[in-house]
Amino acid sequence: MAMVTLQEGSPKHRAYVIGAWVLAAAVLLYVPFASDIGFAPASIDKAFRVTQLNDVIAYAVAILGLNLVIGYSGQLSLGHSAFVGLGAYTTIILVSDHGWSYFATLPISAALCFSVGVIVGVPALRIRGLYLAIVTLSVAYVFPTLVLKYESLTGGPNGKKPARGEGKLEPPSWAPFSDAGRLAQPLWTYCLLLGVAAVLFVLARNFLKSRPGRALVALRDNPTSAAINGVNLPLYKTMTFGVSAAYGGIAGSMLMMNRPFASDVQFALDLAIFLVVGLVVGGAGTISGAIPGSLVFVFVPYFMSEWTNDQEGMPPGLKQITSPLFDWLETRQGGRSIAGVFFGIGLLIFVFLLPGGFIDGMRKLRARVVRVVPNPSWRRDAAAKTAAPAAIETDAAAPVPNPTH
Amino acid sequence: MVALSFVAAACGDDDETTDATDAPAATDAPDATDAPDATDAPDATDAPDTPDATDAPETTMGDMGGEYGLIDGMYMGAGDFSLDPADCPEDWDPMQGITDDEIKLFTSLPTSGPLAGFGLIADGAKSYFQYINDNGGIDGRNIVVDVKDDGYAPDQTKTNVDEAIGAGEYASLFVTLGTPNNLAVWDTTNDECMPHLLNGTGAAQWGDVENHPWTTGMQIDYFTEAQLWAAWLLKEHPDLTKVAMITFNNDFGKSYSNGFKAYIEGTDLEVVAEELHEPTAPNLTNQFTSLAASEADVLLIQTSGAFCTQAMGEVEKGSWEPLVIMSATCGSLSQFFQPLVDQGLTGAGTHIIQTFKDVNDPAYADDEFVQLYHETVDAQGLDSTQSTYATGWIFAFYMTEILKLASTYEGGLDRGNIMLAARAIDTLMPLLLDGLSATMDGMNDAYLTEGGQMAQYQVEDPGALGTFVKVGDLIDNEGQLGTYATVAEIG
Repeated sequence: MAMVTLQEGSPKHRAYVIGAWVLAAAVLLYVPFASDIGFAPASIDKAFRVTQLNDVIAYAVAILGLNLVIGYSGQLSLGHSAFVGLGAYTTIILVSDHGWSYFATLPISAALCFSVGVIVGVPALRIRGLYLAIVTLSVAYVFPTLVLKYESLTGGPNGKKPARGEGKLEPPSWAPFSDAGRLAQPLWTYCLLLGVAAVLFVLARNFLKSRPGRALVALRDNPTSAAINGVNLPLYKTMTFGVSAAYGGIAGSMLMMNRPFASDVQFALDLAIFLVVGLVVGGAGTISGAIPGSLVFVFVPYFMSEWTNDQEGMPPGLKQITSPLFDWLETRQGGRSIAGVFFGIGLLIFVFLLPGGFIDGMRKLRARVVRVVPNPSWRRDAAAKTAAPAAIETDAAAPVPNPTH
Repeated sequence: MVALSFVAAACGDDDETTDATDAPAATDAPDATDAPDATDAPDATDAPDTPDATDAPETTMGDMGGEYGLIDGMYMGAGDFSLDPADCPEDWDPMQGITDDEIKLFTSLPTSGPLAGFGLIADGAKSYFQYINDNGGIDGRNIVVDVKDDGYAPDQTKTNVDEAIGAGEYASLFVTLGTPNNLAVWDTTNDECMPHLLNGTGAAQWGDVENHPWTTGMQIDYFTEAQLWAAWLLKEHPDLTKVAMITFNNDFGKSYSNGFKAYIEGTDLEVVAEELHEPTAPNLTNQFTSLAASEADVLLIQTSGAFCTQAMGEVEKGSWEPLVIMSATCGSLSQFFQPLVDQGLTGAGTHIIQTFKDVNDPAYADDEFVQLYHETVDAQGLDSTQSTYATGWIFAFYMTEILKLASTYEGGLDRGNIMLAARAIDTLMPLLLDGLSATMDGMNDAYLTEGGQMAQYQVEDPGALGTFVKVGDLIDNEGQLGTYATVAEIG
């Protein structure tokens, strides 16, 4: 039983919701000031860590986009690496060869990926499930080949990057961290990406809470009944693919803002698979799940590989447990490939422990502490009339808590 | 040699294909034993001296410390090479990564994924540094290498190198692996004045001393390799003049093509047919129909991976009988010749350029350095027959020599002097084939080794793998290529 029960819409509930948002915003906004303040847990005052956080933000947008297709409209897409790649190459080509600013490329990436996404979504009208997955997989498979094929445009196997010394996102002089040396550029990128991501997350939230969003969920849960209820299935299916691809494309552009270098391997099949992994880990069918999913996507392989090459940075307990294994592996040829095995085992454990994803797990945990009681409008009216909301707040017979986003 | 061709093959492979499964696996230890040069045993007494870590390196520049180094605020090196610290970032620290008892190096290479085999180069390098450290290090300083895995993905290499540069702990990068990987980072390393030494790839770009003074390579570049083919043909087979080429349609393949064409200008050699192929080509049958129609005397296989095998197969099955020369990236017997054996073919007669001794070749069993290698590596608990460790030793050997030489320069061991030394070393690597040299000379010679030995693949039992046998003299074009400007001009 939950320790605290809050009625939806009550001042306490509002304070709780606002408090949570303020806390999240404070954490995010703390990063640029960490080095000035002098308290920087997890090395967030290091340029490379900020760059990683920027990756997290970009991939979160990609996973969010993927979630629209997989989590909300229930169509399995394995082709998202191609959209991220298309967005990334659009940006890097426009910036490197045509002198565009990064921001100006965002709408182009989005529009281009939206169009391609709609086209890829067309097969979804006729085929479903695993067959659709294979069609989208082929998109992911073909993309790196196209990059190699059109070498003059994409740089081929050597990758594409702006000319030496160009294509940098320099912070404006008014930014408080403009004199932070190596940190200045990543921090400025951080602020920009955070802004873009915030807009995209709010848009996704509004989209999903509105009529089209409900139509999507209806389409996922029961296409027939959705059609009967007037949902235009072909339109919604293809549009979802399009919007989702546009999110992927913007994510790709964001990756380039952070690290202006694109190569075919970066947007190969692994990325498509790992985006789905990030989605499942974060929680399919949740907006906020994109964030933990992306954190796992960026940091878990990083630390796995870091620790297999050098056990110094490992947390103390883990270090003692694993040291015999690493001592044994030391002289084994290719022993460091074990990083991949650890990642696999970690995912298995995760799926067993948190089958619904990270966000679902957190909600279950939260439900043990805080229970939010919905406040149906008739009851709110009644409460207003009797001016006795407190009675409801402690109502033991309140309906089952309804988790909210 | 085979070990080194692994590196080359990886770079080559990735240059052309996304099919990582074509890349050789380092667990392929038997490869190393596949290519003994049984017919030409070198005299053990000719073998170069075992390098003694405590001795000064045998370099021409070593005793000229007074001339080179940090002089009046400028780093002045051999061959008119100089560096101005003022061009470096404001926070550039010449002593970064260098303390009284340690020199910290960084490398990024694949230790996981399909190309994880190349990670063994780092283990081999660590093994050699361990040996140096056990023998006193560099003036009492131990060499330490931090390794990060990039899975052979250039963007990950960039991430790793950016992190290493940002960490401010490393004196130099070394043996960063892969052509696209190094191209992804070399602008940054040069802007940051981070020595970016002995890249594990054979692209000609690493000789771009004019624009990228902080970057150097180690192994023979593809451009030069093709020139060695031409030199060898002119000398050994003056009657063969018509040349056909099968070329991978990318930088890697064209490097060979351009190198060869540049060398044969004004000679009797003439390219009568050239067929390009894409990395996605299912086979080379069409290309070979056209090539065979040219009735050329010589065929150059300027490709890599499975295409080498296909090309050799096409020649063997057809009625056209050219003399075949193939990229050294396809030197691995088990990788590229075994599939032919499985098809009832052999690949016999194919020529390849070799540069380094094979540590598992019985012919070199008495070589002092080969013995030192086996003893040391085995004593460290590693399997010394894994020739990729020997490749690591080669890279680490040069790195050690660079550090030793830098210590003799004016101003002592610092990062600027390390860079000067990297462009001035003139040290005989004991595993180099006898007669080859390894020289860098500032703005005049930006390539370490520019020579090799042509070897022919010979088969006694068609049902089994054969061996490489030396044909003709060693060819040494040392110093002839100059810098990347020469290559860039040719195209």
